[in-house]
Amino acid sequence: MTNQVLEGVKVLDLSWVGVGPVATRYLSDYGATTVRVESVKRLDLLRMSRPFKNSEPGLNRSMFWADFNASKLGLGLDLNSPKGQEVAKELVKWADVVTESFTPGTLAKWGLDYESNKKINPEIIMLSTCMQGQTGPRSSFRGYGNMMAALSGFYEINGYPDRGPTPCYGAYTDFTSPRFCSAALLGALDYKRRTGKGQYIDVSQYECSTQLLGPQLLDYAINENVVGRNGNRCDYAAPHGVFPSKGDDCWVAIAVETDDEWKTMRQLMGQPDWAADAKFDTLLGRKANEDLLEQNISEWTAQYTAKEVMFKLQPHVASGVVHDQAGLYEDPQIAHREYFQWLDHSEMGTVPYNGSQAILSETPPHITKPSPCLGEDSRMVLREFIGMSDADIQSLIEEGVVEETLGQFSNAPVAS
Amino acid sequence: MSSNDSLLSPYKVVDLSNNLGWWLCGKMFADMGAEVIKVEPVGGDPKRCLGPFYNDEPSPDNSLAWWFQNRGKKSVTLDIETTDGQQILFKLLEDADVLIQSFDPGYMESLGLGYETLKKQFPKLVYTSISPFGQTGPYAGFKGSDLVVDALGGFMFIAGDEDRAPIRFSVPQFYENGATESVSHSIAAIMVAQQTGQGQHVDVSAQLATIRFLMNASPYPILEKENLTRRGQMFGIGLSSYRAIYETSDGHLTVMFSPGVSGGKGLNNLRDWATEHVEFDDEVTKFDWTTLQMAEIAVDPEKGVVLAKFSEGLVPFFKLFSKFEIYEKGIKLGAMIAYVSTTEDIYKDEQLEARDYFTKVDYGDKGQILQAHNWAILSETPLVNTERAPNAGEHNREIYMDRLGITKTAYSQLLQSGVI
Repeated sequence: MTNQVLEGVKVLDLSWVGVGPVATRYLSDYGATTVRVESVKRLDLLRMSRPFKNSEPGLNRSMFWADFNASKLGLGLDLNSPKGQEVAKELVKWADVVTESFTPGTLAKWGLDYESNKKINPEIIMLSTCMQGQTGPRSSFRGYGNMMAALSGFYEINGYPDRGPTPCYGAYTDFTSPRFCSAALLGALDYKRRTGKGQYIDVSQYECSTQLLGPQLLDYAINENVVGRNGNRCDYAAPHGVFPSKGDDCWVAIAVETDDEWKTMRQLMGQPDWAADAKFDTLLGRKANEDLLEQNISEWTAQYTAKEVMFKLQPHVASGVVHDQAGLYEDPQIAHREYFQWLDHSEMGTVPYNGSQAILSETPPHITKPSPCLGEDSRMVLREFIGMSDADIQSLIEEGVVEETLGQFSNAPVAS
Repeated sequence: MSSNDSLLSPYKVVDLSNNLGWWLCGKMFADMGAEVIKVEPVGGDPKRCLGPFYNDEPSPDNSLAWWFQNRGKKSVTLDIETTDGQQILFKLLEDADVLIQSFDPGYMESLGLGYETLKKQFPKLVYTSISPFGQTGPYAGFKGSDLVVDALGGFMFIAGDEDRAPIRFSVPQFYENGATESVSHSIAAIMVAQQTGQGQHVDVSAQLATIRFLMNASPYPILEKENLTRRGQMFGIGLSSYRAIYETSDGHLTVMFSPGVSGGKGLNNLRDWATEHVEFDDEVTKFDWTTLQMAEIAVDPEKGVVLAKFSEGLVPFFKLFSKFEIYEKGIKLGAMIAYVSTTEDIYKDEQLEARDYFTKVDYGDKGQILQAHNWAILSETPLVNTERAPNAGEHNREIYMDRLGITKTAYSQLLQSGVI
């Protein structure tokens, strides 16, 4: 595809696990040439995490890793070794952007921190993202995104008032943060286009994620109110909840925001006797009798599949199937957006990647290539991007400084 | 202000977003230095009715949701359904780089303000549409809601207790996530427009922005023939699980168990500390957590048994201490522990204070109030410490009369006929 926004932009992705690679993918999906650096000696946890193709574990068989690294080239490089660091520095010279997500201080050990990189590439744009930021008393806090979700306030607000906090699935803040990282990166790229200047960007996942609780933080600052849990209910809407539908563990969400929508819902339910009770006519009445309201609605929804309920109520009343993962592939709207992109991976074969959440009418972002096996592109990257000879590359591979793995369907490496 | 003080200082945004959550896109533009004009309906955005509120006093000027998500914007009031109103909108768009809108798909088109129409008059304009499901497709006409987007985005299904329905967060998140997603794509489109003179339509779906939170769950049905389900307070590692949330003397915390070469030492240390206060099964007391791999636990529930015993055994132990105490000790021990923060905890966090995350905003007679702000630290172009969110139409005179040159007479006529 032509007309990629970031065609010709060169990105060195030193990051790992979640936030860094997902943030970098925004650049890669806009056409930037991206080299993702990894090592078997310091393996990205996700490489050994499920789901695996056909449930068979393997370094190059994890879709968890693959999904975050679509559109990238793979370089296997041991950054702990002095020769590996030299290679990395050549790539810093090559790059326009460097991204990383190590615990603060790690890159400095290897001479790959911003100050060092600036010496060899003065206008480099570099983004560092970590849990709590590069500075401050907690900068060395190590952890994973699910822990950050707790620390950023999202567990506390998940669940019921009569029970303790509940985790959300996975690492919520691993996916709120990349949106802020990518905004800063695109902004920095435009700033550089205008002024010629690069810069250093320090994104704390704790800070950008708590932007999503901004109003609630103000509520504490001013009123000393501490926001709590409310199940699926809403202060200013009823019914507002999740109701059982036909089938095992099948549910449908319904949100009625006005009395008119309630009247319409009542009609669409076939005017059941219970709903005619005037106490349900108003929001205040529905809130005061919410348990009974929900019980009655549950009896109605239980007769139908979630899809049937959704289509009965939409587009007049907000409602939606509570999709399990299989449901996402059957959803016609998701299909219409072509969100899941099926690409041929050189080890896993055809697998579905998360594609783009946005469509641009002229220059849409999209996956440019399947994710790489570990070091799959090592030879090509070192030869083409920093001019290393095949012989030098081969000897670094033999020393274990450069790594290369291929998939069962990989093309054999071609010497120049 | 020079046109290159901040990331986006040369750019102007006309922000027609119309609900909590969608407002956040324009706010991020303001943070990055763009001029953002929030266009509200005459009488003010109806969603200023949303709480929480300053001093718990509901009023359109007291909405903290508005205060936070519209910080740094100017406000004009305008009835875009009138011809005069549209003429004024066009004057604003002459200078604009981005238009943001979040109306029901089809609404702007029905007014002759859709992308295909406006691009003829404003070829450079980036037209950013944010909506629950996208501008086209079978669900484009659906009524949206934070709850329903969470459900149809597949994220809700995998959260909650097994004996109750799946849950969403008790604070709206999913329009917000669609809005924050829209920013980088809009900037990408600005970059193209600056090069080619051609704008484009940026169409963002909050449903798709929700699917991203599934992390690794979405490929499970395809790769492993399985659907992940909610596990309440437990954390799943394949066929095994352990307790994720623990009560402390003053709240809750979460522990991440990652046995193996690196994480195992921290778990040994945590176990050793806990055995000073509680008793575990022999099996747990003697176990060396560096010898067990996560991958083993995932496929063999037998291997997960000792882990489950350990995690349940910690329940009475954590109740003896405060969450901060355990968190700090956890750091020293190399164990992966994070406390479950309340908004109070976040507001008082010394790490955020050290980094000047909160900045003071002047609300006049309502005081100087600390507001969560610096979401990135940039060495050349720091985020702008923007002014407070505007009152409805606060900048009508400045923009309509001073900038667009609308005369006093015309201004009065427009005002009295309800156009502005």
